[in-house]
Amino acid sequence: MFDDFPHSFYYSSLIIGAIISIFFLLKGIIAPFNLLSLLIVITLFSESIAKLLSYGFRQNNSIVYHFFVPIEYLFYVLIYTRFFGTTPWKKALFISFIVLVVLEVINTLFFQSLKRSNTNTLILEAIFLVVISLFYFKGIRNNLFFASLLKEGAFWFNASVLLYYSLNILIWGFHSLKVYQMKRPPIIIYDFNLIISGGLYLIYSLSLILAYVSFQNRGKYES
Amino acid sequence: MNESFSLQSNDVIVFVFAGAVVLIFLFGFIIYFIFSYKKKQTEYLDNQKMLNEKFQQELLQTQLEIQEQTLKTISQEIHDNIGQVLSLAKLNLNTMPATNDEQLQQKITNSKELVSKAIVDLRDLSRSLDTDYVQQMGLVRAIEYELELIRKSGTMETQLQVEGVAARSDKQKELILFRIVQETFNNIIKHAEAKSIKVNVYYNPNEVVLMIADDGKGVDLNPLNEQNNSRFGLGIRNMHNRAKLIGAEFSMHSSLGNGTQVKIILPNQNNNHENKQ
Repeated sequence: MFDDFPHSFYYSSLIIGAIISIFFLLKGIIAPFNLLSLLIVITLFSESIAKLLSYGFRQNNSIVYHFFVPIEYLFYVLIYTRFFGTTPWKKALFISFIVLVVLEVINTLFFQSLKRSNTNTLILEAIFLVVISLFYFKGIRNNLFFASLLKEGAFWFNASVLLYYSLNILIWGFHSLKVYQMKRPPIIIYDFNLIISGGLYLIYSLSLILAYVSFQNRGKYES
Repeated sequence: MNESFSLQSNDVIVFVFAGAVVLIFLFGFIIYFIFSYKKKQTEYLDNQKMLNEKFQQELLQTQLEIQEQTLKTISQEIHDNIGQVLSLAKLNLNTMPATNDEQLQQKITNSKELVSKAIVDLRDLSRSLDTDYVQQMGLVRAIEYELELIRKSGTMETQLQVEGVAARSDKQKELILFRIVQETFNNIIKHAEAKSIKVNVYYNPNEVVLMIADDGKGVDLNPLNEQNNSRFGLGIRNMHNRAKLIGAEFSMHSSLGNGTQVKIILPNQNNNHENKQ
């Protein structure tokens, strides 16, 4: 379907991630990694609809992302709610979700319609997630959550969120400032996005594997 | 579309450069985080280990204090109560009128000797258990006294050799060291089937080296080193812990048929010389 590397890499990673996710969902992976598995599967589903619209029906697929971004952010909120575990953080995370939904509606109504990319919401989501991941890093360090940091799915998940969404701020910021009004935008920006997105799903898959292995080992020691 | 809207090559360079900077910064941050986490974790674990060791030492110290207090109480009981009762019994036997019945007279004489022996044995035991008495005598005299008791029992020969100028160290340390020596003697009496015990005490300027050797059947030390080996290991582990408490090194060497050698090194003695060779 795709003869260029960035697209092939992105979709292969996403499909691999989705297969691993379904496997672990069937195996009964524990929360919040079951939510991450669901998020990857939903992402594949959303991307499939977007591709169907653009390639199958030759339609603008931006509408998909207007709905997908809040859903995606809700999953992140639920995941981090489990990671942080404290009531103030739970409240803050849900408030940020409400803020994002409200701003997405305002953005759609007044700035970026359903036929245009919702880069403003994407940037806002990325800023929220970068801040959350930095706070989670702080929490990990202050409380020494893990015996072996590099063997923990939560660490890899958080690190990939920080990396991916920091770059997303750059990509979509650049897109909004420079590329937005162009008829033929430079392909490099999208290729870059596809490659880091592919990387994100591969690291998510790794974190699922590590979380499952860690859970299994814990089960062994407990029994 | 106006040409001015097309992306200039400079913009692409800026984008790539900015992307590279962000990536490098983020990777740098994550690597720094990993190292910083490991450093903090190591500090935390070291701290935990130190606290645990301190707790264990305090626990051991408390156990030893309780033990010493118990020994002191037993010692006093033996001296003040049982000793007095036996002395009274001996007095009664001494004041018994002489009888023509030779068999009865012999029994009275035997009983007097037995009671006298019991009084002496109990006095020795009382001294050996008495913390104050051991502390007053000093380490070498206390060991000498213990060896004398063993020798008097007639079960084995004893030998004590002291080299260097005997220096009195902290009394509490000496007491703990003496209890380790007592425990070693008890083990030899109970398990070694030895014919002799040899004790060497070397007073060096910065340490006291105490060596206890027997010519008994020896013991295979390998099972002692196994974790959870409570049958053999507990006594030796206690001696190790006691030595650790006073900053001494405890080591034990033995093999089947070759007797057992125990070595205790107590560093940093006070220079309070006892003038004993």
